[in-house]
Amino acid sequence: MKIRDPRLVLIARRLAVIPLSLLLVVIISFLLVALIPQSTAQAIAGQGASKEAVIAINRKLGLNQPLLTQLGNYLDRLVHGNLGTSYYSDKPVASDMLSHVPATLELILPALALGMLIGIGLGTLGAYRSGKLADRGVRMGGSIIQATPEFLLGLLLLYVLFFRLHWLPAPTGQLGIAYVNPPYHTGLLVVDAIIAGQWSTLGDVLVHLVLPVLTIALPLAAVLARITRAVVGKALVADHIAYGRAIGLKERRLIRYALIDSRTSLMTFCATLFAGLVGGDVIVESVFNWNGVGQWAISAMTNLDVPAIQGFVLFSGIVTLCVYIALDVAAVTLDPRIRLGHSS
Amino acid sequence: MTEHLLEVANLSVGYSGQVGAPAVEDFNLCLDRRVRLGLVGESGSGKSSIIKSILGLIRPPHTVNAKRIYLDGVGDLATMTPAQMRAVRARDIGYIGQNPFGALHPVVSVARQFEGFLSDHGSWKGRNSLSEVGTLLSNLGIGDPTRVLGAHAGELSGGMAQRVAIALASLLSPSLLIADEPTTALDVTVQRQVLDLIAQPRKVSEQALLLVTHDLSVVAQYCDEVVVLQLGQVVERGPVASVFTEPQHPYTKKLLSSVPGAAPVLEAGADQGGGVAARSVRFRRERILASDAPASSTTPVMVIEHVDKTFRRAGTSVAAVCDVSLSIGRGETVALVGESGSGKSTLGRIATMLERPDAGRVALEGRDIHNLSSRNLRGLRPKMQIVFQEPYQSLNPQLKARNAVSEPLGNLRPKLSKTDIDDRVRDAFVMAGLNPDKGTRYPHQLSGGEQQRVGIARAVVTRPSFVVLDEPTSSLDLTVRAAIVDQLQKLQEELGMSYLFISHDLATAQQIADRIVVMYKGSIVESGPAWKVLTEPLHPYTQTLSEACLDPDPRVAPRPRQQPVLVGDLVPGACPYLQRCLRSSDQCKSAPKLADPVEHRRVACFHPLDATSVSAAPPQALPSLDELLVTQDPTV
Ligand code: SF4
Repeated sequence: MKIRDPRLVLIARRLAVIPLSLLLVVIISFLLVALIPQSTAQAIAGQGASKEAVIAINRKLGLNQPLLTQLGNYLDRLVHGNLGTSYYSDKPVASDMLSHVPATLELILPALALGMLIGIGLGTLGAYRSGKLADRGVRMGGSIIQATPEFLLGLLLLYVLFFRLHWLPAPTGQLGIAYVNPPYHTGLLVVDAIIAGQWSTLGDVLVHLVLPVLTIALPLAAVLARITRAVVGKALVADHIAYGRAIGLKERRLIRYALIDSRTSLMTFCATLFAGLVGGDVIVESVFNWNGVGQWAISAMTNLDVPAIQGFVLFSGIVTLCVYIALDVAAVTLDPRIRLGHSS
Repeated sequence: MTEHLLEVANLSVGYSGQVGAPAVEDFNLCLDRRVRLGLVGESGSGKSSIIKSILGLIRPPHTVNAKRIYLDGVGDLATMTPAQMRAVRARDIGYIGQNPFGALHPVVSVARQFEGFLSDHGSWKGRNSLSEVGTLLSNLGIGDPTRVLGAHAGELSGGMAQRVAIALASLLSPSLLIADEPTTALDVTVQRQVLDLIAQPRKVSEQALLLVTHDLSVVAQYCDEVVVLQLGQVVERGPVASVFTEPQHPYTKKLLSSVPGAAPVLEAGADQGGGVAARSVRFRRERILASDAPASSTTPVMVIEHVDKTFRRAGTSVAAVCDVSLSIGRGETVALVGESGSGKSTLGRIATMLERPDAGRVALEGRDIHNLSSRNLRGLRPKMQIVFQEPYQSLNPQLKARNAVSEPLGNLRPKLSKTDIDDRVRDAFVMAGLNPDKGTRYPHQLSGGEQQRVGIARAVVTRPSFVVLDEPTSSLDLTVRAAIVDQLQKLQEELGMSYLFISHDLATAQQIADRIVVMYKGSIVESGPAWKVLTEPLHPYTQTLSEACLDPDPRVAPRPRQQPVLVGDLVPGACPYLQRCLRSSDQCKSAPKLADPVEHRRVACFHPLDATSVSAAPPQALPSLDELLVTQDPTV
């Protein structure tokens, strides 16, 4: 009997579409810029520049060639790992962008973890005590947070925790002004500080993280709590839970069973949220002076720095793609229903 | 031991805020050790509420009031805290539910669920426990316990899943076992295996059984005592033998007369109160005795020839129907019987053009319905109709009953006038036994039986010559079922329609049909006069089906069950039944053709049975749960 593990088949099928999706991301990132109404060369040269200057810039950047040729050149560069050079700083886009990535990662990873912890925890509580005080409290808190704009939430937290209570430091970015970055290893300051054994720096990095992380995590938690309440609430009324109760399983186990039942859907939502965050959170980064990818991308956009924008779109596209593939693999491995081809 | 095992005194259950939820009033019950008690009632009788309150599963805001729910050796359950009740469940009261898949977690493996179950009851001892569970599972007739333990719910068949549930319910040797419709969701051929496991007479253990069911035949064959419930109140109780032979309450009489009568009782002339079922069976019998020849000697209305249908899904193809030929005469009823997945519903859909066959010909009144111009088709469409299994799902919730019924009239040419339509709809309501005033109701405002009558009215409003009845009664209560069957038969006499009656249940088929056609895995394996097919099956599979029919008379011993579960590999090109067949030989590695060894009967089998071999059945081999409870004791 020849049995191929259906898991492997499914995973292989997902992996097979990667090259095509990648190509699509590249083409989109290329075309996106072609759609910008203003002439790039004009923007670089400035409003008052002469016609000759604009033409010269166009020629220098290859912008006078047909679109397909440009695309070909672009692809050729990409294959060699070259994302191009910024029109403004003249630095290579790839290294420029990647130097901002660690700061963003250091922000969004803890924020996502915290958001998941609070959101899934409170959402489960709400689902279990559906209609009771706890449920109503969670829902009300969630609605308030979701209704608050992110910058306002950040400023409120700053006002209370820094300005009034002085529990947390001023929003000076990743470190206080009295500190210098630890020696570069990973770009993640927490990790670098540990490697260097600079404990007071580590402490400073951590306290500077609290406010921006909270500002991102709280809205995430609110969204996740709402979703979790719905998903787990549905799982809690499933037949197997009622049956589990009838054979005397403990309530704790029943809740765990409901969570296991819902984990694929919850994972999907978390992955979507993460994909939305990898581009950096411009608002939070600017409120807290955070030198992350978001700030970098925004300045590229306002400057019409084409290679930088393309690099950024490509970067977020690829990360998103990877997240979804990881999600698929995890779902297939964890959920026998998908493996067996049942819809739900 | 004179004390009762379970004593329920003055139990009342009230539901707050749920209109129509079955309330129970002043219910009393005494159950002794070893006794198997059947709690019988239709939907709304409150039988589920009663067992839920015994198990302590009814939560506020709903209310349970009882003077006493006393379980010997445990105490008064009515005064226990939820935490105490939790420990009682499974340890002292085992529970088996209706939906075997509902019992199992879709993602957590079976082994881990056993682990969770045992550790919540403080009996988890690691590997030892698992091997005990494995032994129990194999004693319950699971051939490969290791595979089942590693499996997830979706990888198990219904029978397997129900065995796992039985194992969970019996692992801690509770003194009381509650089974809530344990076989309703299972295929007929598996039902008896499960009943034999949980409801054999108690010879060794002292466990009592509270079996909740709507199926009186199950009670007749597997219970010692019976309590009949109607609308939350006990209408009759007593030993099965006396309640079934001399029912006192009119409701009990009505219930008993609604059971699709198995042959031997009626042949013996036992008229069970002259109910509808008895009448229709008599009516059938007269027709059958009048001519043993099937009515197909008249011009056939529906002819199905060499029809094939394969479904392709996700790379695999499933042959739903292969090379099926069948013809139905005018005014004849042919029953198509088989388990789920046998292709019977697909064939019904092909015969009414809801599905196209891959090959073969389907002709209604001589015209090939799958090869007609759309114009000719429109004329033919009103001549064939279908009634579905789930009345509610087959009706548009937005449409009033009247409009649902008038819909098919839109296909008639020339177009009817408004008054003609109204007349036809009124007539259809009357024909379906429904008050035409109900026409202004929406489906959700009608009862299940009324919904199905709307479905029937919609089918007969165009005066079709051919109607497919796809399990039209299986989702209905017993008494409603009998009335619907009766109505369908009256209609047939009036209008001379031909029926293709699709059913999984041989007894019901036998009751309504002239001829029975048995399908297995897409092929016809046997056909013949209804009477004969049930009582003298030729094909081993039909025999299994007929063994699955329990007799509603407790005095008639159940037919011995021959078929254990055998799961072998599918051999391509072999007889489709080979994996499960006890009579197979080397010859069966090629597919048998339909042949007619007896007049008017066809069978596809190299070694068909004859009447004598049925009674010479070997006894069953598997031990019952009763014995298992004593032989294994995991609580130590
Ligand atoms: S042909 Fe053989 S395997 Fe098939 S049903 Fe008959 S005896 Fe069994």
